Amino acid sequence: MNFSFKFFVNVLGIALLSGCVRDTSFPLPTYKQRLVMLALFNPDSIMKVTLSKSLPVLDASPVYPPVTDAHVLCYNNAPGKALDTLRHVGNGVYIVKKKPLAGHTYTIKVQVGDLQLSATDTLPTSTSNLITIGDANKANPNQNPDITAFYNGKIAGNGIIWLGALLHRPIISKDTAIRTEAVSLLTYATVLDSFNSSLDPDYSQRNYRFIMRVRPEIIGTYNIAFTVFNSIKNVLDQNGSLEVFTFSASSNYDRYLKSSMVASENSLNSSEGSNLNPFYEPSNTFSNVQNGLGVFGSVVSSKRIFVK
Amino acid sequence: MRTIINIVLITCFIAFSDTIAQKVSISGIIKDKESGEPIPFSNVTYESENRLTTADRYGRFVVYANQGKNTLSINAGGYKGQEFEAYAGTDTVITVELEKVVIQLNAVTIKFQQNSIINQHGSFRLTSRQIKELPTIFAEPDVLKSLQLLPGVQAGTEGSVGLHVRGGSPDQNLILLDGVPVYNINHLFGFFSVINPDIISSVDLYKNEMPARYGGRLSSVTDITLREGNMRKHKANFQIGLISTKALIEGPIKKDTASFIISARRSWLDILAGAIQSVSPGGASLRLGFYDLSGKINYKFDQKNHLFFSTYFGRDSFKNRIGDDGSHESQNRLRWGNATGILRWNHQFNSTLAMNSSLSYTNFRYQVETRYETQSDYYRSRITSNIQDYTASTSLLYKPSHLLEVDFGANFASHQFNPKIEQVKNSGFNEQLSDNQPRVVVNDTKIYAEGSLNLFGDLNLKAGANFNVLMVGKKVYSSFQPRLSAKYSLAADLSIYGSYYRTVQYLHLLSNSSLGLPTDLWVPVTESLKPELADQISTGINGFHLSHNWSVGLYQKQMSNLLEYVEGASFLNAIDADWSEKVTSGNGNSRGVEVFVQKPSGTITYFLSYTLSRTDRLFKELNNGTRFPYKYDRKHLLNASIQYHFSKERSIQALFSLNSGGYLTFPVARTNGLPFPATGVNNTNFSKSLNALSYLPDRNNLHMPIYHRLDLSYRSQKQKKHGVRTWTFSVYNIYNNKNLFYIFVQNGRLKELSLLPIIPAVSYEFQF
Repeated sequence: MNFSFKFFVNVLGIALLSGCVRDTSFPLPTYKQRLVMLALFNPDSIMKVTLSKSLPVLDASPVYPPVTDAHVLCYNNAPGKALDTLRHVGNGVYIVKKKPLAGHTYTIKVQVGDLQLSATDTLPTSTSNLITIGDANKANPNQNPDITAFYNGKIAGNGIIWLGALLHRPIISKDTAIRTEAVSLLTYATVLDSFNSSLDPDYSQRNYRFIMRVRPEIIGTYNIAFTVFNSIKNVLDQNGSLEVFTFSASSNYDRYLKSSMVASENSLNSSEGSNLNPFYEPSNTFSNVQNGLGVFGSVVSSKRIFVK
Repeated sequence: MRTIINIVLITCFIAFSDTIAQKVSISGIIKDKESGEPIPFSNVTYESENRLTTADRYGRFVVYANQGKNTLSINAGGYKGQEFEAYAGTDTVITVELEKVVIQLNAVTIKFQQNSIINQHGSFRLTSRQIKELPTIFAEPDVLKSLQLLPGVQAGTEGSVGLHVRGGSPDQNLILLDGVPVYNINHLFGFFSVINPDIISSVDLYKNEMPARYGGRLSSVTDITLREGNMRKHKANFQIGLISTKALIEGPIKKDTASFIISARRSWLDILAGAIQSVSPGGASLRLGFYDLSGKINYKFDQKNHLFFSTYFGRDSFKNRIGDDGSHESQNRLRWGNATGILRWNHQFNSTLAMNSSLSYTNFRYQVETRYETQSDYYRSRITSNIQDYTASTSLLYKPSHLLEVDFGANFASHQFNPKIEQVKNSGFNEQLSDNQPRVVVNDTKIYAEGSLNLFGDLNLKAGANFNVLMVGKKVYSSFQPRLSAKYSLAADLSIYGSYYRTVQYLHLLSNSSLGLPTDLWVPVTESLKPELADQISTGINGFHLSHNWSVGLYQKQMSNLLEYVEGASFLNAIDADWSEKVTSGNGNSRGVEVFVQKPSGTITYFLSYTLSRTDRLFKELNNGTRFPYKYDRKHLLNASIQYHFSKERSIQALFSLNSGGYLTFPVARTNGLPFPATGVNNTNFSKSLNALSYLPDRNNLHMPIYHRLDLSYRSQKQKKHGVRTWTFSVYNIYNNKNLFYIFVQNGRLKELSLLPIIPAVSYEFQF
């Protein structure tokens, strides 16, 4: 979002909210508890499904009630493949010690009492990629290096590419030894979806918040050059690290991820309760679970590079 | 074919039967006796046949009478009616001058429509005086807020000037200022409209029938006519209120031949804030203000030729500046405003044929600017959106007899959309400028014709059509928009009416905020997004009994190709991204019953307007493709106003509003989400937000509570040595009802925000 516009929205938001805010007991629409199924398959990991229950929007509990008494089945839709039963290992997590296969389609069926949930997803096939990190570049903010991701011969239908970077900064704290920063990314690349970006006024490049999505229609061989806004050198000097990652998401996971990021941006309150956006238009997160909420998606070829 | 020929022949015979019967025309102009200004839309009754005709907006009328002695009576709201005998041997031209009355305390001689704001076709007309007498927030009279009190019209959000007419969005209303469209109607983010009521002669709202000369919007037309200025005396008035000061000067350039009127308004809170900030420590400042300027000059060459030039210019500004120690300065600025100008030539060929031709220009522009400056570096980023319309139009009004009136004409408009992003960066020696947004030109050509036929003394039929050809890029859109309406008099003071219209809208306003933000984006149709289209049928009955005008109407409107942001998109997301990728199109439906009762004259005057309606939307890509209520679908809308005149100088007025609540989309549940496939992300705030996902079962699933408030105002006028002074005291929301603006969740608790509490205000006006 353009800085001045964001500033204007915030000032207006604060002005409005300082009008007359008070607690209210206004009756909300009827709440009906829903079952939530979450599964992210990856050819490098065993198959895992998490089942929980939704909470009313005003429930402050940090824990979603797990579903521990479900019967969970997983089918590989290819002919001749066996049916697997997933076992509960605690806290609503169900597993089977098998790894899913890239390019295969799976269906998960969950029976909880009389209710049956189901979802289907196809794992993408991997796309060959290479990430390189150049030398310090004076033209970049904080003289950060150029980072280039090369994608080789992506064919239509084999997943949607996501790419991003994070800075891990060590700190001494009671809670965590590492603080992760979701950094800003600057790029001229035209193959990207601009949904989570704005035009940076200082660098005339698009500014993304730590992650970029390649438009699904982009196929073939291409590369994406970008850099990081925050000072990498500063983090490395503190014995921290830069993580560059890319993965290929199935269509369902891609829709889920994009819609959840959009929903987060459009919420009146961020998790810290500070995003006082009076013009919010709340939106749902994508779900492919029949008779329930959540998502069954998959990723492959998740590449990570750590620079220390 | 034979049937059609027969109908045309019969129509022609009826229309010209007056000529055959040796009728003569009595035509002329009706003027204000004191100022010499024309009085628009006066009623002229030909008493011998009890036939009523209405003068046009320039005060011109024509009556077809028998040869010999004839009695005409002329009435206009706010004027003493006049009855006189005119001997007409041949076609006669007369000038009638009416005397203004401060208030009509005696209702005995009132006829239908006199002082009434509703006509027999269900359209509304307000005068400047009626607008200024209504109680308003901060005692600032407002044209559009007055219209929001009428049946079928509502504000949407409390305090805003946007018009939601019969389930339509604010962009579906064509707002014409002396015939020129105004794109942005908001001052101070929508709390005040850009139109200063002091300079207004009349405001016409068409939502039942849509005359063929209008087009381009689905729901209504608000046609605002500016005054021409006093032709005989120099006059001025000055007003100061809590928000703004206003001044108006008018007078003759050449007595009874040419006159001018200029009105200016400026908010003064920003000046006060600036003065306070300049003496306060620290270098930060925050300013918000507006000004506008309206003016009109007219020159009457002779009885047949009259030239007008009117203009409007208004600007709003929001500025924030931060500069701590003189080493750097950062400034954010948002500016927006309209500019319009029109040159109009009225030519009267003879008593039966008149022509209006005009050249006009309108411009709406907003600019978001960021500046940062240190002793060595400087950069400026500026996003500008600029819309310009250049229009040439001509219309002719042909009235060969009292039975037939034909209005026809043509119009060409070139709409230019010019979004621009500029960045200037200067780091000692290096400067760069970029400008990467394409300019879009849309050419719109329109021809129209409409005939009004009076049959058998009781029946009035209007039929017309508007044919449009619009070119955008290589795509050509054309549309045929028929208009039909009929009125039948059941008795002298009782009539029924019915109408049908089709309209097409080529411009859309993308907005998902309820405030009138200047950044709401006007966009044209594209090669892939079709024009919006509406079909409306309406019917009703109205009458005048026991000193009351009353009307009951029904309508059904269907709208297609409406635009909405896709789920999750808004003007806040990727502000510079292609807007067409963020929208989806669908349909809308609205139907309702509207009731209006007015007692227009006497010591106590009042009106009551009530609407019972239902409006919904159906979009394939929204709400899982199922129907959902429109955000501002309010089942019941009630506005009641009563005014008590203590004397000719002092009055008190109360306004009560009671509405059903609108709709909000509100989550009912939250769920956890999938972990992100990258190391460490799950410690970030981003990850926390992905683990508290809202679940919204339906769009607009929360029905807001009932809205109600009572406003009071007291006006006192007094003749002083050098002029007339008026004090207005008003209290908005007198019992301080905390009407819900919206609700939200904060730290697990449900909060509600109410925006406008009790607001007392005072204003002072002096006319001399």
